[in-house]
Amino acid sequence: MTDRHGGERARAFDGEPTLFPELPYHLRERADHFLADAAVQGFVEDATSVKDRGRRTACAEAFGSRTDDWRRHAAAIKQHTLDHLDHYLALFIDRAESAGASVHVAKDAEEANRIAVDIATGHGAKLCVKSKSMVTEETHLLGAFERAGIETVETDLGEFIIQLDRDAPSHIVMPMIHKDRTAVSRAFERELGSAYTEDPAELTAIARAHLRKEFLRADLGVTGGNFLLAESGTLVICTNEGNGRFCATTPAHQIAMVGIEKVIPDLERLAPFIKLLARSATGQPLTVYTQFLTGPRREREKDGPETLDIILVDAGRTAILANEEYRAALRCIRCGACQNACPVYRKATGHAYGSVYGGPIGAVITPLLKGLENYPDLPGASSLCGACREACPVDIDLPGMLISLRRDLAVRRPLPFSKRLLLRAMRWSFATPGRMRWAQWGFRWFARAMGDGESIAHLPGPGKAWTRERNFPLPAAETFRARWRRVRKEGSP
Amino acid sequence: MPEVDLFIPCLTDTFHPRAALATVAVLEHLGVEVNFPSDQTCCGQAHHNAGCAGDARTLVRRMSRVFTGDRPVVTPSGSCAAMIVEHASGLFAVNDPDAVLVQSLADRTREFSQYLLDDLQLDPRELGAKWPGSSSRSLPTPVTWHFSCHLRSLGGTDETLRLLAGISGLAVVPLPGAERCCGFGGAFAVDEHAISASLGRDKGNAVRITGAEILVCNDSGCALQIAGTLSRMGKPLRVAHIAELLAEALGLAIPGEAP
Amino acid sequence: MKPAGEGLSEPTTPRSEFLARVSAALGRRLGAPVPTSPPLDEGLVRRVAGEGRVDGVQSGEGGEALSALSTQFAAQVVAAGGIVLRAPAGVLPATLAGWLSGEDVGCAVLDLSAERLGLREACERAGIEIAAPVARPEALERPVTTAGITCVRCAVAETGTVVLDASVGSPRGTSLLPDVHVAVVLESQIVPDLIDALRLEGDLPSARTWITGPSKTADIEGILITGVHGPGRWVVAIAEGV
Repeated sequence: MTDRHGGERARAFDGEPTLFPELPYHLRERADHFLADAAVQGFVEDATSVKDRGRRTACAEAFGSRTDDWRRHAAAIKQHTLDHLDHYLALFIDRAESAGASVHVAKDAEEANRIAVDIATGHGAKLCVKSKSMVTEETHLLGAFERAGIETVETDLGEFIIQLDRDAPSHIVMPMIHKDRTAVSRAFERELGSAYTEDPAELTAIARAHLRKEFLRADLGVTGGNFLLAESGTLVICTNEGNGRFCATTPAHQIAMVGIEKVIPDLERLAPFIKLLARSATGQPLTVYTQFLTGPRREREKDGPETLDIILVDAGRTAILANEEYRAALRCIRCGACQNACPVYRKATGHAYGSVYGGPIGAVITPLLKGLENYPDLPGASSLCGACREACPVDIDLPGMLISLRRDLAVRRPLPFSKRLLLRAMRWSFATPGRMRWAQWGFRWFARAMGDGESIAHLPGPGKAWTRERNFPLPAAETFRARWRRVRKEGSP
Repeated sequence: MPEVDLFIPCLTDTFHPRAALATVAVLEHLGVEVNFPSDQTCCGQAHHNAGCAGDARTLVRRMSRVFTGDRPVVTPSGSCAAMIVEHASGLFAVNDPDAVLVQSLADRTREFSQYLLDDLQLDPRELGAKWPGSSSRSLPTPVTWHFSCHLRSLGGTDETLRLLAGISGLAVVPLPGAERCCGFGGAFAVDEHAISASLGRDKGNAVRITGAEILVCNDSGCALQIAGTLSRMGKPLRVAHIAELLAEALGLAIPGEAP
Repeated sequence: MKPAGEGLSEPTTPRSEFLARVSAALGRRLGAPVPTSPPLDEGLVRRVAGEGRVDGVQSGEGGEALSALSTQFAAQVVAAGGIVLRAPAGVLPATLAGWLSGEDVGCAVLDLSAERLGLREACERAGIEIAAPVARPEALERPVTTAGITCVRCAVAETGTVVLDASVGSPRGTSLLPDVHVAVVLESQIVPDLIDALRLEGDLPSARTWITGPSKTADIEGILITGVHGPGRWVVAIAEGV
């Protein structure tokens, strides 16, 4: 691959349109493209496999046969918090402000960004260092800051490289899973003027040196938050690289943007989550850094932000909360385990989902956050294999929700004609055994006419999609029911 | 003598009747009396997965009225068992007149291999099953096994492997990525055919790498996907249900087949 | 407390309205009673048995258990990619200073508690320059290898974690900006399980940080690299017998 090629790809799926496509969005617009990209397929397959294995090993080692009990326990605590979220949010706001933070509420992405921009400009911020945060991707805060003239640097290594390439993250935990080291080498050579190298350690050192200067120069740090502890008004941030710590250490001001669903009751009840999160995400027992931030720096402390503004973002979450069938989706702790486990994510890859959240959790929450009619393909983008549910540390029934979303979609607008016809025909046939017999007879006649004696290589109509890359096996000469009637009537065994 | 009702889903009936016949043969060999309620049709899985909850409810309701009584309902198809066990009750309001019948059906439904091992407490090593044509001097026939995804809903793990271990003359070769989905997924196989077919090819390649002569697959949907993929790859392979292998290894007559 | 929206260019959603929307979504009335949250299932979640011992005094017969805890802690530090130094409390400063100069550390910054343990003098004796606590982070941008030496609030055997509380005497940057971070742990500060670290008594500081390993990333092709932003080397110096 050359620079030119990389540039073309970056343009084809450039930053903002990648995660914020024109709506309604159809998965196939991009899935086929990535499916045909052998390099991306390889990167995603390798990385997800390693992390999926890491999760299994770590959970087996730590939880043994009680993994399901752990998942259910964490789920119960988070579900209770969601069921009484108004109470816990009010408590969090009260306690965080008692500790000296300012808490803001934003009903949508636009409002969240506006609040953040106003805070930043109010402080006269010129340079913002930002750590990884999914909700800021959701609101596209980076774009809003750029438009407001606030220079913003993504400091998570993966996000930094993605920013240099004007690309978009494609995995919750491993944002540049769709790129390899050569993309990094080219980006650093092009944007930072560093000597070309493909050694990951040297590349990391280049990023360290560059970003260290930015950390020391920045007057604003923006972070997300993995958890909010209501009782103490504490913001919990889990990171590995240390950039999240810098964002809360060197700049004079800190803004934390967090989704409202991140609240849990108190410190003690964090225990199951903190023990599940990193194991599920990367297979580590714990992330390297777990920060508990309670208010800004205190009097006479030498570092840490002088102001801490926490922006609590709704952006579609109360709508999910209002629907008891889907409320549990808000239990998600953004570990990415469902993405690593998902066969469809591995093939389609993150950008094919047309939103910030790819994979099973994305297929569920993107339609819920942004409208089912805007993402009509996502609920269908699953073989319902259940690997995601098995991987989920907070026991979200993702396949069940995908089926419910399919139901909701079918109510709102009719299924495609051919599918509707087939399902109607099946329902009619299955009304009595007699009809079923006729339908099977008709199908067998049809299939034998289409086939070559062993299988069918070309089906017409909607069946074309099956036989494009696969054969379709022929039905048996005689059904079980027919033979059963025959042999049992004849009295043979 | 234990008695069971047999549920043979539409795909198995149409494409893999031999798996169903072998299921009967093995159950009867183990002294189980098998009833086949002839009024049965379909569990509604296809409709449920497509989001047609109303149609699925109609079909489940019908099933719950066919399989009354208190006998276990045994089926060779794992995904249909999962539909009944996991999803059926959720389609009915608690005050629905058939809710109790549906729950009863869900409680009694058993996937074939789990019925043998969990309910009958079968010890496969005591079966005395021997693969036809094998001897102590010949090399065992290599077989491999695809972990169908429905096993996750049914809490299944290695039941098939335990049964295979009871057949002398077979060597089980582990399937790389056995627990990975084959890409079938019902309507998904057509709606997202490119992704589905790609997953199918991965599975097909994994099967070929094992060098197995037989792929054991206990779900008709997965079997269609894998057999169809291997056929297109020009590398067809025998895809069989565990019941067929057991019946053959026990020398049981499959009804209607020449012994 | 300032009212929501103050100082902002456009009016924003009032807080009360925002919370009312959440209540409405739940079919609740804000202020309606809330049942107690499911309690922590300690039988399930505790992975390392024992009592939290922090701030407590080691009992005579607890010595053996403490030593076992200390051994487990040290093993987990190593598993997390850390380096363990162990020495009786009396000789620890000299041991540590010797190790640092052996690693070509030319400049160190200490938090107040570490100074009180006599580590400053030990470092100076070993020829290591002592920088002022990190008031200005640029102070640590030196052409030599730098180390930040801190004491801890407690340490956790389960995961090899050290718990640091920011304070006037212990800035956040001391354990973040240098190339090497040294955490000095007294054996009596080791608690069995993360649950114990979550139950520490007293109010939370402005920043409490759990550190479990050197700064890490695997963003490039999943290859593990240490020292991406924070310290690339993480040393835990265990003072035995105290």
